[in-house]
Amino acid sequence: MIKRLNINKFKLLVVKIISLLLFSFISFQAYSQTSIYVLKAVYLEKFSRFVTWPEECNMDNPEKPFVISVIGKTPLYKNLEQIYSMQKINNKKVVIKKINNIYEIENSHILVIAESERKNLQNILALTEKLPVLTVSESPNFGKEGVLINFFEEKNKLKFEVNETAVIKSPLQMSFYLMNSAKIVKPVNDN
Amino acid sequence: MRKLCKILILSSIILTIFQLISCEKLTEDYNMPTFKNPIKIGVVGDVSIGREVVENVFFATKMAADEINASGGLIINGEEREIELIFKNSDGDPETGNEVVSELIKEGAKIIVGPTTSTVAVEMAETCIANDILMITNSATIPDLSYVNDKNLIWRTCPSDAFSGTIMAMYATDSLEFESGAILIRDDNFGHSMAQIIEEKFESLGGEIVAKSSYPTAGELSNYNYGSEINVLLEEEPEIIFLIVFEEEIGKITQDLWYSSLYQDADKKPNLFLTEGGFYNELITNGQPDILETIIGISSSITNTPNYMTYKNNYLSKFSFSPVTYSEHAYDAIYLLALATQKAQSIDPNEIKQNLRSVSGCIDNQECTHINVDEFASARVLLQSGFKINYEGASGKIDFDTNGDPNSTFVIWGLDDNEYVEYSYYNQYK
Repeated sequence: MIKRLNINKFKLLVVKIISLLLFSFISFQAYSQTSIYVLKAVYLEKFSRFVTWPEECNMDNPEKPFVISVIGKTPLYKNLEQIYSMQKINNKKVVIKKINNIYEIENSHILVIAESERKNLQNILALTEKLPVLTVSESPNFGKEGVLINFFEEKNKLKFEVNETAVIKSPLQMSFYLMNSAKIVKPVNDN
Repeated sequence: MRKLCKILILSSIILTIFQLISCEKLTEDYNMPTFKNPIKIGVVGDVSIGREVVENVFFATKMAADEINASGGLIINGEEREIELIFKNSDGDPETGNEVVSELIKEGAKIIVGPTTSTVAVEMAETCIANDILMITNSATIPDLSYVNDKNLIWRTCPSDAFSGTIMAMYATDSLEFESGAILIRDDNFGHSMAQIIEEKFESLGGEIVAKSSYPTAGELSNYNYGSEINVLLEEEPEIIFLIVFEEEIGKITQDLWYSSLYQDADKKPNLFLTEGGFYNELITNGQPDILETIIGISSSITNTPNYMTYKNNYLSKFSFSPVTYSEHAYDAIYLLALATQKAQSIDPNEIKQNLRSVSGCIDNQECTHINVDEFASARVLLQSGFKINYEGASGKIDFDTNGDPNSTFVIWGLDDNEYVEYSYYNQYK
C-alpha cells in the first residue's frame, strides 16, 4: 500500500490558499469613489457562492430569479443594475428590486440596506433576522447592529465584516471560507 | 434507346434525392447559431488519439464561450462582440496540425486553443509563430514549449512536465522511500522527454532507474499487447513503475500486468505511478481491479476547490456527464483569451498577448480583484472601470510565468475502494 501523508496540514493550507484567492482585498486609492460601488456590486456575487439558502428559496431552480433588493438610497443600486443585467448568480438570472415598503423584502435573497435607513435599521433587522435573507450594508456600525455583512474601508482597502452571532441566528449557512476572509464582529463566544 | 431512357430516369431520381439532401443540409446550416461581430477562435484537438477525451475538452471550450456570450460578450471599442469557436481535428499528426492552422487562418481565426498532444503542439507552434497566431495549448506538456523563441505567442494553461516529472520523482523517493524504479514509455516526444525528467531527478535523489521500455504509438492502443514491454521492466524487480501513457492505454496495461507471470510470482508487487491525464474513468471501467490500489497519479487539477466544483457542476448540468482532466485547462484558456482581449480593446493577437499575463495574475505585487469561474460580466465591468483583475480558473491559479507557463499546484492522487482520493499537494515553485 502507498504511504499517505498527513492530509490535515495540506487541507489547512488549501483552505488558506482558497480564502486568499477568493477574497484578497483591493486597494482603491487610485480609483474614484464611484468605482468602489462597482467593486461592492461584484462582491455580492462572490458572497453568494459561500452562503447556503434553505430549500424554500429555490436556489436549485434556475427558472426562478435571484433577487437582490435595495432599501434606501445608495449609488450601489445603479452598479447592481449594470452588472447583474448580464452576470448570473448561481446560474440564475438576477433581479434588482427597489424596496419602498419593508414588507416587500420577503422574497429577496440579498437585501442591501443603505445608510439612509439608519433610523429604520432595527425595524428592518427585526423583520429579516428570522428570514433567509443575506443582509448587506456599507455603513459604520451596521455590522455590530446586526447586519450580516457590512463593507468598510481600512487603510485604503475595501473590506467586510461579518456579524457571527447574527449569522448563527439566521436560517442561512455561511461557509468557513467567507468567515475566514472577514473581520468578525459580535463573535459567538462573546455572548 | 430504351436503356438510355432508363439511365436518364434513374439519374434524375438520384439527382432529386441529392437535391433533397442538400436542401436539408442547407436548412441545417441556416439554423446554425450566428454570432455578433464574432471573434473567431480555433479549437484544435487530436480527436484520433482519444475521441472521448478530446470531445469532452471541446465541450469545455464551448461552455466557456457560451457563458461569455451569455454574459453580454466582449465590448471592444464600444462594439459588442461574441466568441465563435471553430473546431478542428489535428489527427495526432504534426503535418495535419500545420494544415489546420492554415485552414483556420483562411477562416479568419488568429487565435488557437490546443492542440492535445506535445508532438503536434511543437510543430504547430512554429507555424503559429511564423503567422503571428496566438496559441494556448491546454494539454501539451512537453518542456520544449517553454523555451521556444515564440515572440510571446505560445502559451499553455497546463503545467510543463518539467514540474510534474520532478514532483513524481521526489514523491517516489522522499515520501514513499523507493530506491528502484522502472519506466514504461509512450514512444513519442512526450514520452521520451518525460522519461528523461523522471530518470534524472529520481537518480539525483539517490534512486536508480533499473529498466525502461517503450511501446509504439501507432494502431489501436486500447487493444495492444503490452506484455513484452512490461516483462522487460518486471525482470529487474523495481519497487515502482512510472507509467508515461495516455488514457486509452491504461486499462489494458493494468490487465497485461496482472496476467504477467513475473508479476504474479513477485513477492512484492511494484507500485504504479501515472503521469497527468484523465485516467479515472478508464481505470474504473477497464482497469484490472486487483491492481487499482497500487496506483497513484499526479494531476494539476485540484478538484476540491470552489472554482473547480462550480466548473464541474455547470459542466454536468449542461452536458449531463462529468468533465475530464485537461478540459478545465481548455475552459480557462478561453476565459483568459476573452479577458485579455477585453483588456487589450483589440482583437490583434499581438495586442492580446501583451495582456494575458496581467489578467492571469497580479503583476509586481499590485492589488487585483480575483475573478472566478463564470464571472465574465463582473470582470468586464471591472476592466471597463479601470480595475486590475486576476483570473483564478477551474484549473487553479494561472499566474503565467515568463515562459507563458502557469504556476500550477499539483495533487498526488490514488484510489481507495474505487474512489478518487487526494493524498498530497505540491506547488511547482515551492
